[in-house]
Amino acid sequence: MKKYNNLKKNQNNKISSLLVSLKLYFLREPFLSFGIFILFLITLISIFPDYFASFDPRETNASTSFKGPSITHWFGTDTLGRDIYSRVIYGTRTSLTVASISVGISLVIGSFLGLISGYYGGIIDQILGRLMDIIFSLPALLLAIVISGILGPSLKNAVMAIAIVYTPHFFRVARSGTIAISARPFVLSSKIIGATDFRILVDHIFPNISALLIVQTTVSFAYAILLEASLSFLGLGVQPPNPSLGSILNDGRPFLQLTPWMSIFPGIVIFLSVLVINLIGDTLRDRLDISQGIR
Amino acid sequence: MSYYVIKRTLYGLVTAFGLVLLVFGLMKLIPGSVVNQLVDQSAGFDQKKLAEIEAFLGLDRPWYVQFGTWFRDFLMGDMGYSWRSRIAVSQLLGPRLFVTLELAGLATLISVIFIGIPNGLLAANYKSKWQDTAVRVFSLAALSVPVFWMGSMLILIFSVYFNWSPPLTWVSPTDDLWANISMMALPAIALGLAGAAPLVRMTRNSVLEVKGQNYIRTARSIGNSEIKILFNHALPNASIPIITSAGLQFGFLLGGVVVIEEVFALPGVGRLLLQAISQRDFPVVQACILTIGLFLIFLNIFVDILYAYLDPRIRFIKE
Repeated sequence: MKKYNNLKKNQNNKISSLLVSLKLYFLREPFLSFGIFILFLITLISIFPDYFASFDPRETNASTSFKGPSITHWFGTDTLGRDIYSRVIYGTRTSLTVASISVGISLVIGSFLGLISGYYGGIIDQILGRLMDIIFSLPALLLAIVISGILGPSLKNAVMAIAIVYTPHFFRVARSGTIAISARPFVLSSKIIGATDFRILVDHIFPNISALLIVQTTVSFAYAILLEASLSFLGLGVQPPNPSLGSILNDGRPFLQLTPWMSIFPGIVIFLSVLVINLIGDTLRDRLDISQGIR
Repeated sequence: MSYYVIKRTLYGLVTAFGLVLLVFGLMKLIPGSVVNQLVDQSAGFDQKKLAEIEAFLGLDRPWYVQFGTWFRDFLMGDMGYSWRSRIAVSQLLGPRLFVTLELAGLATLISVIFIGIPNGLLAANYKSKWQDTAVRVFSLAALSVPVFWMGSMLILIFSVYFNWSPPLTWVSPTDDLWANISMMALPAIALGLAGAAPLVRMTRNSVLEVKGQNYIRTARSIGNSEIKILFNHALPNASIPIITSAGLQFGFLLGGVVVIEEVFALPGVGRLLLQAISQRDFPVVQACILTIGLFLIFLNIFVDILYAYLDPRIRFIKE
């Protein structure tokens, strides 16, 4: 009863009532709200890195090289005396940008092709389906390594490699969703009243498979961050002196025992970012009731 | 059953042929001509000489003729020669394939037996309790750790606390089994942890599905203990999807092997591939990706057929 009174008192104040509802939401969905909160912070950092970084990430300083974590250099410094903390901040920006652009490309291309393939079927479906199966048959990392290796290591090619790797994932999800929705009576009825294919696809099928696509986007985004990190770690992504979370780890690799902080902190940041996105994706998968769409 | 086997195999062969075509096509995307890659730019060859080399290598013919010749050689096991070391690619690849397969196999074993099944059973047995949530967070965390970072951290921990460092030369298990295992253990753990999440989920869901069946209720009503029901009735019946997803997981782990081999300096296909990419040694790149890709396609065919064989319901639906 006492609790309830407190709630009632606060209702007059708009901000407190917002806080209360946030708190209630947090209690109901702890993983989702924790995930969104951290993801919000990470996004903020990567949009405004200047406000968070304390040094220029590319500024070398021979007198401060190989220093462990301290008050001035939170995460220590690397071989060239660059501040790891600032490099991690800017690296997060690079990694998130690469991941979001490449997943965006796969989302658009993959779901467009999937919609077409699932809706029209026939020979288009056969050809596209085989093509995607072939891309799908190779492990993601291997394919990305080969594509960016052949095209030459650069940021642009890494984005392209990741986009190619994840297109079949969106294709499959969009295609199976489209096939399931196309069989529903409401699609048939709109066909009967003379709706065009374009209208059926855009107004009826796409909104119904969007939940599937949202979950797939979240999951792919998490994997894309890992993939970008792996590519940069192998020297096939972002080129020096620009930092990316993977390339900082690559710089630190020869000095693992000597300067472990170069390897520990960027890894933790990758881990945390991917973990919160996976938490969000996993919860969305449960909440949006994906199984209803496919079966 | 035989209809299903034939259909699945033919389907796989089409995909395999497509892959071969795709990899051949990828090599044509290489910026600059192959001859330019091959000859030393400083040697001062004139255009005529370059064209002669191109004709000698058969690069002036149309692409389908080139593909035909290359594909015929490939079917006979001749994957060309390395541009850098002049060694036959198949000779380079052979011993390294064993290392990669051993690593992926050990990692799959770890992720199924030590992580996937125990955690999945725990989560299924305590559905919607805190144990279930803990397993879920743990498997999501395992999914989120970059494999190469996990490898580096394991090296760091073991070198600081146990004075261990990754050995420089690889020992075959037939020479010294213990040395081989102690070398492969850490990379296999790092890799197995990364691949465990789908197995945990699969085990949990299929055990839960089986636990809702009537025969489980019957087993419980005649007085079997929960543990006995779980291990004697639920797990065996839930094992078919677990086995097949373990097969698919093996394929996924083959991808992760590339980075982990680099971190632990193991002489596998992945390291060969990375080395070939940095030296722009394209016949080797081609052979590495084709070997792993084709291996995966045939593994998938095998897993699908095994699934149909173990579970008759699948093959009747699919027929």
